[in-house]
Order: sequence, then C-alpha cells, then structure tokens
Amino acid sequence: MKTVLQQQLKDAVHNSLKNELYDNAAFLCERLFAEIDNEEVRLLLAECYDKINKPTKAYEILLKCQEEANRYKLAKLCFKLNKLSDAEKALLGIQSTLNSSSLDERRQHKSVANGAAGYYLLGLINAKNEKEAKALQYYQEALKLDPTLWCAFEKLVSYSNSNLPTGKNNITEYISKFFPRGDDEPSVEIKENMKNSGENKDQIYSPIQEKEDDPQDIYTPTGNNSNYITPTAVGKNARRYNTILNNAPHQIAHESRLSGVSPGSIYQDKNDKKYIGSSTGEQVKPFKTTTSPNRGNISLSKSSLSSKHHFSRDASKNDCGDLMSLLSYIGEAYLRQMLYDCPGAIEAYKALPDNQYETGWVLAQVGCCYLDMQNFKSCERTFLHLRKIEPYTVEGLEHYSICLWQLKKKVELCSLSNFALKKNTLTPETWIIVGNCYSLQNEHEAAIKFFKRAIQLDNSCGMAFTLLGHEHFEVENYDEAEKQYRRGISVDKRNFKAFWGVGNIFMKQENYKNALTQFSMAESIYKKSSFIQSYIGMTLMKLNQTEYALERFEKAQRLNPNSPMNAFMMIQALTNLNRNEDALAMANALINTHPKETSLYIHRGKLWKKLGKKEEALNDYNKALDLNPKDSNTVKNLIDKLNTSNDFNEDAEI
Amino acid sequence: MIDSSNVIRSPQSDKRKPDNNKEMREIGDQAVWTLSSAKQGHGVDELRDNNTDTFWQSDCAQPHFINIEFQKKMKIKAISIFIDFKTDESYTPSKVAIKVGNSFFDLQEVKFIEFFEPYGWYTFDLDQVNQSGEKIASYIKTMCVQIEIRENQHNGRDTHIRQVKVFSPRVSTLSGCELLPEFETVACSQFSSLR
Repeated sequence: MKTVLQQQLKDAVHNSLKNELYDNAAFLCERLFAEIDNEEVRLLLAECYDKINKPTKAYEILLKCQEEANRYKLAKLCFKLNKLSDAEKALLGIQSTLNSSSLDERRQHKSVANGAAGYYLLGLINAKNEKEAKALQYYQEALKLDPTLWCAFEKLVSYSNSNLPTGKNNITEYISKFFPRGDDEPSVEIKENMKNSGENKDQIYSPIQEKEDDPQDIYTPTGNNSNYITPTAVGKNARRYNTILNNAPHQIAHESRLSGVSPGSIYQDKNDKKYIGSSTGEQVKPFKTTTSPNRGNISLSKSSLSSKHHFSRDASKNDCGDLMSLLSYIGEAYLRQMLYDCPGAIEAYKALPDNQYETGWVLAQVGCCYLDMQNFKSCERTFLHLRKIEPYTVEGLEHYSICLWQLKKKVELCSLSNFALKKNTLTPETWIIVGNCYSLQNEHEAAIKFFKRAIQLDNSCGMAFTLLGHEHFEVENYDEAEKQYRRGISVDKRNFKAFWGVGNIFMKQENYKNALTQFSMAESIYKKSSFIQSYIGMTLMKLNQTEYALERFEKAQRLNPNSPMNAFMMIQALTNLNRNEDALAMANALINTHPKETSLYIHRGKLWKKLGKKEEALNDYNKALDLNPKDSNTVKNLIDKLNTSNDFNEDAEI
Repeated sequence: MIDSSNVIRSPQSDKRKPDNNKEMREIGDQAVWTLSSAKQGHGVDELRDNNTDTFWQSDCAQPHFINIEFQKKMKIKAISIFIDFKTDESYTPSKVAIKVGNSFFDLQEVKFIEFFEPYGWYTFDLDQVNQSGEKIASYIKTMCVQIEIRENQHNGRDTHIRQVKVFSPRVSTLSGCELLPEFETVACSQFSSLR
C-alpha cells in the first residue's frame, strides 16, 4: 500500500546511494522513515547512516529487526562497534538469552542470517572471542554453503597445526572438500608420476595415437556437479602426456618433430625452473589444453625435458576454465604456503595460468615463499616483477622490505618507503616498510615508533608485532621484546618467527632449556626451516650435547646448503668433537665461497693452531687483519697467544 | 681514586654533534634526571630537549650536580655535554667531575675535566680499568652517574649547561647466542638473522 510519496522517496534514496551522495540519501531516507516504518526502510536507513559514518545510529535503528538482511546488517554494525555478543545473537536470531537452549540451536542454525556470509561473520566473531574450535566450524560451514568465500578459506588455514592436513594426498583431499572441481584428480602430482611411469613405459612409442584420441575426449564436459562443469578428460590427457614426457624425453621430442608439431614456445631453464612470462619476462603464448591436440602440447626444448622435475607442470599449466578450479588451484598453493611447504607452494602458484600468475597478490605470495626459504635473490626478482606489473600496489611489499633489509640495500629500501608513504599512509604495510627502513639505518627508536603505528592500524598483524619485538631486542629491552613476540603469537598462532624471537631472548638470558622449547615450537610449524634447525643446534651445543647439535647442523645444511651461519656452526661442532680435519675441510670450502669474511679467517686460524700448524694460523690472522684493520685488538691478541699458549679453548670466546 | 689519566685539561671540542651511530646509542631517556637546583623555566627539560639554545641554570651554592639514575646497571660508554663560553661567559663551567656508582652515596670519581673558555660539544669516554691500570672494557657498568660542577669560568656562582647526553655501547647482536660471530659481508649476514 505504498503511496506515491513513499515510492518517490524510495527511488530518490536509491538514486542517491547509487551516486554515492550519502548525506542526501540519509536525509531523504529519514523522510521515508517518517512516512512508513517497516523492515525494508529500516535497512535502507541503516545503510545510509553507515555510509555517513554513524554506525551507532544505524545500530539503534536495526535493533529489533527480524528480517535476515536486517539481522546481517545489524551484526556487521555490532562487529564494527565491537559488540560481539550482540552481533552473534543477531546472526543466530536469538531474541534473548532465555531462548538459547540446545534444541533451539539446530533451529537457529537454519536461520543464520545471509547463509554463508553470516557463518563467516560468526567465525570472525568467535575468533575474536578466542573460541577457536567454534570459529573453525563456522568457517567450514560458510565454505560449504558458498565455496566462493575465499576469505573463509584464508582464515581456516591460518589457524593452528592440528587443523591442517599433512602429506600430499591429504592436501588435495582437503582442498577438494572446499573447492570441488568436476575433475577430482589432483592438480599437483609430485610423486604420482613416478608411480604412473612404470605403467606408461609401453606407451612411449605411441604418442601420436594418444593425440588421435583427443578430439573426442576434449570437448565432452563431464562435471558431476551441475553448477561447475569442468572438462575432465582434458586434464587426464595432459597428465598422460606428461608421464610419457618425463620418462622418455628424447623419444618424444623426436616424435613430435616427426608429426609436424609446430614448435611451441614453452621452455624452461633447467636450473631455475623459471616459467614463461614470469620472472624471466619472456613473452610467450600461454599453454591451452583445449586447443587442437596436434599443436603445441609437447613441443619442448630438450633442456627442459631432461629436467629432473617430475611435476606435470613442466609441460602444461593448469586449465582454469571455471571459478572452482581456479580457486582450488590457488587454494592448494595457499595451503602449501601456510604449511610452509615453500617449494611446493611456489610450484603450485607457478602452475596457475599466466594471466592469473601475473597479478600482485600471487606474485606477493610467491615472493613471501622465497623469503621464507631464504632465497633472497629470487624474492627480490619476484617483487621487482610485481612492481612492474602493479606499480600502484603497496600491499605485499612489506615482505619485499624484509628482503631488502636482509640484503642490506639501504637505497632501495628508502625509495620503497617513500613510494609507500606517497601511496597510502593509512595502511599498516606502509609503516612496516618505513619501520624496516629506519631499522636498517640503525635508528631503532624510530623503527619502534613506526611499527607501533602499523599495529594501531591493524592490531591483528602478526608481522608488525614480531618486527617490533626484533627492534626491542636490538635496543636490549628484552622484557618489552618478549611481550611483543607473545602478542604476535596470540594474534597469529603459526607465527614461527615470534616463537624464534622468544627463544632468542631465552638464549640471551642463557636459559637454554626454555629456548629449546620455543625453537621446537617454531620447528613444529616450519619443519623444513634450515634456520630453525641451526638455532636448535646452537642451543644443544650450549647444553653440551654436541653430537645431537651436529645432527641438527647437518640437517640444516641439507635444507639450505648456502647458509654460512650454519656452515660456521657445523665447523664449531666438529671442532668441539675433535674432528679437526673435517672441520678444516669445511672451513676451507666456506672461505672459498666467501673470501672476504674476516671472522672465517679468524676461526680457521684458531683451527690451524689447534692442529699445531702455527704458520698457517699466522697467515690467516694476518689476512683477517688486512680485511678489517679496525678491529685489530682481538686479532693481535690471538697472534700473541699463538706463540705463548697451546690451549684452543682460550681463544674460543673471541 | 683520581688517576692522572682521568684528569683532562682543556679538552678539544667534538667536530660533530655526538649522536646515535654504529658504536653507541643514547640512553638518557631510560634514566631519571635530577638537578641540585634549577631556575624557573631552565630545568631538566631544557637540559634534555635536544636543543642547544635552551639551557639549565642552577640556583644555589656550588657545587652543582646533575644526577642521572638508571633502573638497572647500564653500560655507559661516554658522556657528552654542550657548553658555550661565548654566550654564557661566567656561567660556563670550568671544573667538572664525572662520578659513577651504584647509589648516590657510593660514588667514585672517574673523570675530572678543566675547561678553558669552552665552546661546543665535549664527549668523554668512560673506560673500565682494573687495578693495574689496564683497560678492561670501553664502558663502565653502573646505575648512577653524577656530573658535578665545581667551579665556573671567571668564578661565576651559577652555571648554564645546554645539553647532556649519555651513551651506551651499541651491541648489535641479533642473535642471543655468542657462538655466532657478527658477519660483515651481506652474503653471510643475510642468512644469520630472521626478520
């Protein structure tokens, strides 16, 4: 029974909202509200008030509403105003606390406002209330109802270890639960190709036959799920091709030339596993499995085929024809990243189609993985590429700033800070970058100020807390540092760097047992971190368990053969165990790789002395003096001691 | 005990303003500063405001004291003061002693300086020496530091001091473990820290 006035007002309000004239909309909507008071109008009025930044007014308007959309809006407002219990009640449709018996809960579940989005908001609320189990349940419900809620997936996998899958097959199962593809074969086959290789050896000589099968298969959609149709057969064929390729590379190259396959333009560098169009910047046509089977599928240069890499990714990128497959591929990569399976994650991201890969978010994630792997050069390359593609983005560059800090590139970090400040001063990433810049210049007090700003802008940013902790550690405020690390952990339970930070403080305080506990927790999150293994080794050495320490150093060496820190510690361990020749061999190798590092010469000098070779020791000490004439006192003392005493351990403290 | 090496006559002023650098950082903010007396508007704030135009003016009989007390033992590497004969003339100190100790009743003099028409920043390094006079460390670990102004130029009664800074040695260990050396080349140091 709408009057003309009501209808006109309603249209006018909608018009203003559309054109973002929110004050006008609010005014007109108030007139409409005076005319008629119903749920629809209340929702509209609340929207207007929210847009003009008056959330409390909007909240009051929506308080007694029953409609789903109104309840959802009310919950959103409550969440913004930090009235978490009200938000939860609104979403679940609980009138008062008297109604919330367990019988009603089932009924209430059905009436969660706005379905999946409501569940997601419930998850956020419970997460803020530290009810982790309930939050996870809600996120899962949200994803079940609507698999496009990537945000729910992100939240789900960033929780504690016990929730996440381990092992390769479990990962694909886990992903397919949330992002069901029609084709439910795994996208990333790490070792399945190895299994298949045995069966497929007979097929080596018949690639042409395989190709002839294709025209029928490719164009039959076989999706089980009526909503998401994915071409199953295509995926399967791609894989069969690839197993063949991996087994008999030369054969295939030969065959493909015989069959007149046009030379494709896909190739990769054996050593760096680079892909087309990504870090190398080469412009190549993206690979498509839906095109004619006789073209481009297996034309690869020999060098790539002889790569030991067994991923099906070698020859094809994933076909992301529909949203579910795209989300599942990205989801898998993201999950691997959260599990700290960095090489796996990078492969999975690189398997995305080129147009998706060459985006800010994906490249930032890849850069972050490289950073965690301590591969700073690749990390820098990835981020430079990101900046070329999306020169307006600041999000994601905080990882780049850490990379630059590690590489001690002051100029680049300064220019990055200036860039970030120009673009947006209201985002935490900017202040993290600026903080890192000042920290690199040794202005730790200033860095502390900037990291605090980042926290003000986003108090769920685990990285900012960790960095703040590092800064406090640098100025020797160990209590404050520990506090910040712990806050970092409470905000992000898988923040292994914060665990390391607390362990580091314990080490400084010579509390080695507690340090070991913290490092072990860090290890349980990031099992393949060579850095954490080294630190566990160091702690064990301090606890006089040198054999176990050596095991850890060896493990760390396997995980990252490039780390001089680890090599140095291993030499120390070997020396302590009196395996002097092994220690010397490692020291020689290390010095060959890093000929300008003074501390290495000093240490090798001490080793020579232990072996009784005083001349060589003198040579090394003199070399150390040459390299660093400033810190001459320690070396001069060592040279004096060369002639006077024979005790190796005396020098050990220096 | 006052050693002859602790007595400095007519020191050279610093070429540059002493500030946080690779070797040291200012820790005055972690201490409680007290003055023996101060004129209204020329007190501790003016002494610590990083501005050499404002100054502390004392307001009683000599000797005047600046007491700096930390909550725990700190490593003190150097003390810097800024004084200006050209502007302050007879307010400028001429004999200054630096004492350290664990409380203000237990101070030991470690430096004694005689100025002659000083102008600018003057930094005094504090070293820890053992009984035979050998230098053990280039800092002193202490809780309290006292700067005593015994005499002023031209026998002035009150004194003007424009800035005082206290420096601690910078220990840049990102690692809690001393087994690790501090690598100089980036190629080595990039793997030695987790950020």
